Amino acid sequence: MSVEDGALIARVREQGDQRAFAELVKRYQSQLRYSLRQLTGWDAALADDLAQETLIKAYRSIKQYRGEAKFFTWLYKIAYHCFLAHKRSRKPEQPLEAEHEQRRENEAERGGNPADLHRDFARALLQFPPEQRMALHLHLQREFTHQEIADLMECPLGTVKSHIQRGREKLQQMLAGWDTGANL
Amino acid sequence: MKDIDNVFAELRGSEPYLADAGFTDVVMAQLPTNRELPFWLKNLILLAAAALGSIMVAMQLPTGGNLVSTLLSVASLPALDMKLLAAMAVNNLPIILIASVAFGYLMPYGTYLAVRRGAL
Repeated sequence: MSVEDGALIARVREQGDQRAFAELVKRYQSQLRYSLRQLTGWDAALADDLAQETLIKAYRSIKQYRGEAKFFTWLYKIAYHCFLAHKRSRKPEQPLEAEHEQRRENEAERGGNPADLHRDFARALLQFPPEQRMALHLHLQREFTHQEIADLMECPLGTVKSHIQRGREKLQQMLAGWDTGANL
Repeated sequence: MKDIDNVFAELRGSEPYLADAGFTDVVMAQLPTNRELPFWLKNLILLAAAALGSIMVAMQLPTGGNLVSTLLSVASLPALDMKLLAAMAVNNLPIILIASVAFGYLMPYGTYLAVRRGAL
């Protein structure tokens, strides 16, 4: 029988129980690493580094977790700050236009598969600024509400709505003529 | 062409599970070492210290460690004599100091534990 998140978190908070924390890591590592891959243009190594940094920070600051939001939402907040810090310390990414063009041609020839779809969207998201990328991912992939995203990103609700609306329009344009296989 | 919502529905539905493949071990290896004693050990040490202090105090009692006899003899004192009390205090100064320190430490810690467990 699996132990509830709350019980595991309490053990980590009160006793510094690292086994309980390991259980939490096992539960959420896949989702967290996937999300960070989406945000980093499917750079698996970078995404895993950021995920590790996120989880270590979460362990160090777990006493600050009050249980007001879901544990995963709290993890995402830390991940977002790690991601932003990384972006600010590096030069801007290239939008990989040429690579996208080549990929589109290849896809049209051989047809796509789900794994390519995930990778392609991750790379398409590189064309957005980090904040907008995060908002789009949380809304479209993780189905967070606008308000949840605003709370997580600590920015005004209107900004989040604007990021998502404009992002959706741009993604829709990018989809036009971009065959990812399954009758896109 | 599909709508963006349909594409993301497809993405959500086909999100791969990323195998751990040692990821958790790498994270755990980087966690700071837990310098704080386990909760049960901390309590055991406190209990042992309190017991040791009590034994020491009991052994110092004038009636050879018999608490009941001591209490009876104190109760049978004819009257409160300040000079006698002062002399007793001076004679038992080390014990009084140890007891005060133990009390001063145990009381706030006990209160803290009680508050944390919701007993207060």
